Formats: sequence, structure tokens, C-alpha cells
Amino acid sequence: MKILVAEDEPILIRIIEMRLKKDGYEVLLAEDGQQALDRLEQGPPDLIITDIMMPYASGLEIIASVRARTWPKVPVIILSAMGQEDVVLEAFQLGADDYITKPFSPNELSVRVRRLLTR
Amino acid sequence: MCYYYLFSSPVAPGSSWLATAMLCICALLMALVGFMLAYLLTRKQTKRMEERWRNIHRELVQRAIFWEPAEGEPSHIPVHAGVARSLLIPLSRQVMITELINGKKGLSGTAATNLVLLYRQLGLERDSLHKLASRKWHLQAQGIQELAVMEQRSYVTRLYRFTNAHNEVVRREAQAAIVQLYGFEGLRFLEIIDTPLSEWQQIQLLRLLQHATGMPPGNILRWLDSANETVRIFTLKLVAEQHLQELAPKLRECLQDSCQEVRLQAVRCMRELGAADSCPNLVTAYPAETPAVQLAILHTLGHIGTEAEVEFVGTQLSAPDNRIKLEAARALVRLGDAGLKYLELFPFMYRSPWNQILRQAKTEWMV
Repeated sequence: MKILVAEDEPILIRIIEMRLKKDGYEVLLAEDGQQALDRLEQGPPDLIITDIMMPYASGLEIIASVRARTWPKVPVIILSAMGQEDVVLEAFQLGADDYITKPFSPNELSVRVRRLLTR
Repeated sequence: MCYYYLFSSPVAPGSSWLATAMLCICALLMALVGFMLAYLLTRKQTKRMEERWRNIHRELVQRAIFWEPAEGEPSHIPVHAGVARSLLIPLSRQVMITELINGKKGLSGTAATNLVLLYRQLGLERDSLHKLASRKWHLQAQGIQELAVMEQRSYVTRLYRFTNAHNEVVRREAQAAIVQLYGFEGLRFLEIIDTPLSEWQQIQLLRLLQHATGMPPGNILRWLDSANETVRIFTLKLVAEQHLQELAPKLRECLQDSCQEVRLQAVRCMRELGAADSCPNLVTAYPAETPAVQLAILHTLGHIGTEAEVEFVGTQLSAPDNRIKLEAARALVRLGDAGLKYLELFPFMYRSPWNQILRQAKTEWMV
């Protein structure tokens, strides 16, 4: 299963990558919004984990881009900082499936990914 | 003038002076270029070293995050000898602290606990404490931040001293750090600060307290009597945010405060608490108030008032200030049927500016 991770904090993206690889997933990394959008051009991943605030394109733009395509529904998990409730609501309206507030536990992320992929 | 001196010297011919001067300038320029080159080279070298250490330390941080202690063994995250050696260099230690802080900010649970463990294990708290002892304010602020993010509660006394620091950034960081570490209990610094809490800092502290567990301590009453008016304002915001209904009687006293901002905040706080029994106090305070507070009182009466306040609010429709008239009309619309009836029976309601005011108030209400 392919998971696209879009996160601009270098240490966090590596940690998410390590955790997901440990769970046996193939991980595609994007260190900013534009990279994530470029990755999407190559085809649909099975799940997307995206930060909201990123350079070049925000997480919301990524969700909008995914939902605008004719792909079968790709689940999206948002990583948001505390106090971004309004943005989280907007993300849900755009079609996000779940969200995790930073600081987050990699183990919790792993459980949520598994739950969404087996749904 | 210098030029004149060089060429008019009776001792040496002008050309010789000029040559000497040119030589000096060239030497100076070369020294400057040499210095710049040396500086750039050193900087480049430092950056390269930093990058190298960052990659090495990042690996250790990643391993630490997923580390699980073996049964019956002491909690000690294994550190490669090469990494341990590099950590003898201060710059390398700073890179490690930055990596740990960046990781810790985004993580919770066991992962975060492990990062704190690694920070302690490597003795990096000593570096943060060393920054506190620095005379440079930015280093002090950095040290405070590091200790707070890495949850070093044992150094609370050291941090506490900075909550009333002369430098605003240091003070702000220390106050936020204490609240981050101790939640409501951390607000004890409100009793000692004699500098104002900026609006921004108040927002920051309230944000940090949003997810705090427990209750504000009993001495909150003392903060409402603080000599520092920004502390009184902040406390009122805290009362409103935390819905501390038991403090509603105290709010009535705040309506007598000498500072307009405090009185304004007290009125807003009453609205947040929905303390309808405060309405008579608001009505009593109204005549002696400034227009800003009067507007706030009318706004609050519109939210928490009852039929009993309709008559009082209605009389404000005749106030000379149009802003008061509009706020009174808004309040009457909010007060329900009795308020609307009052508006309809108001003798000048179909004349300007009341007809426009009523239209505005009703439109706002419908929106």
C-alpha cells in the first residue's frame, strides 16, 4: 500500500516515514505542498497524510486537488497544530477523513492509518 | 581637507604622499577582503559541520523515538561512541538540542518521553541552563524555551525568576514556559510581576491554558485586586474563558475599578458568564460610565438581560449619541418580544435616524 506524506518539518516527516515503513507501507515523501501536488500527478496513493500549513501549497489545496480527480476515494488524514480548529473544519468540508493534532503520537497515527485503510 | 594636506605638504612631494596613501588603502582593502574570505570560509566550514552533525543526530533522534527499554534493564538509550564524541563540541550539542526540540514539538506519548529522556541522558539541560546565565537576552529566551519544551520542571525556580525580567522577550518566554509546565498553577507569577502583560501575551497565555487540566487556583481573587491593571484585565479574561461562575459577585466590584479597560472587561466577562443577576449592577453603573463602557453595558444587557431591563435600555434610544441609540436598539431586539414591542411603541420610531437604526438592528438580528 502506498502512502503519501506531506509535511515540511524534516524530523517529523522522517519519523512518520519510519513508523509507516515499520508497518509495511510504501511511503512517498513530499517536503512541501507543491511536491505533494507533483506526486499526485503520478497517480493515486492509497492514503494521504498531510500537514495543513506548508510552503507553496497548503494541505487544503492538496485535499481539494485529490477530490477534484476522478479517482476512487483516497482517504486523507490531516496533521494540524493546536488551535487550528477552523482550518480543520474547512478540511473536513473539503473531504478530509480524519485529523491528528500536533503534537501527535506516531503509534496513534499508525492505528488511524490502519483503520482508514481497512475501512 | 585630507586631500589638501597631502598635496600641500612642504616636506614630501605630492606624488610620494599619494603613493603612500594608495598603498595604505590597498593594504586595508586586501586585509578586508582577506578577513571576509576567512570569515566566509569559516562560516561555510561551520555550516558543513552543522549539516553533518544534523544528519548524524537526526538518526539518533529517530532511533530514540522508536526505542523501547528491554525488560529489567535501565532506561538508557544506546548512543554510538562517535556521536557521543561529537557531543563534546558545543556546536554539535546545540545541533542535537535543536533536533530534539523540533521532534518534541510535534510529538506526544512515548515518542516525546523518549526525546526528553535522551535530552537528560546527554546532559543537554546543562547547555540550556548555561544560556539562562548568559547576559544576552536572545540566549536567555532560547534557554527558557528549551527547558519548557523538554519539560524540565525541576528548574522551575530558575525559570520563575525570569517571569519579571527586564527584557520583554525573556519575560514573555518565561511566563509562557511556567504556564506550559504547570498550567493554572503556573500563573502565580501574576502576583509578582510589575510590568504590563501585553495584549499579545495575554492571548498567548489563554491559548496555553485552553487545554490545561485542573482549575485556576484560589488566589485568583488576589489577582483581581492586583495593582497591575493588565493583571486585572487578564484575570477577567481568564474568568470569562473558564466560566468561573463563582466569581460573578466579584465582577460587580470590578465595575467600580479606576481603569476603564478593567471595567470594560468586567462587563464583557458578565456577558460571557451570562450572570443575569448582574444586570441591576450594570444599570446602576451606567450613568457614570464613559461612552465605551456604556456601549459594552448595553451590548451585555442585550445578551443577559430580561424583561426587567427593557425599560432602562429603551430610555437610551433618546440618548444624543447615535452609537448609543443603535446599541440600545440592538439590545431591545435581542431582549425578545418585550423589547420589540417597546421599539414599536417608541414615539419617534418612524423618524430619522430611529427608523434607520431599527432597520439596521433588525437586519443584524436576522443575519
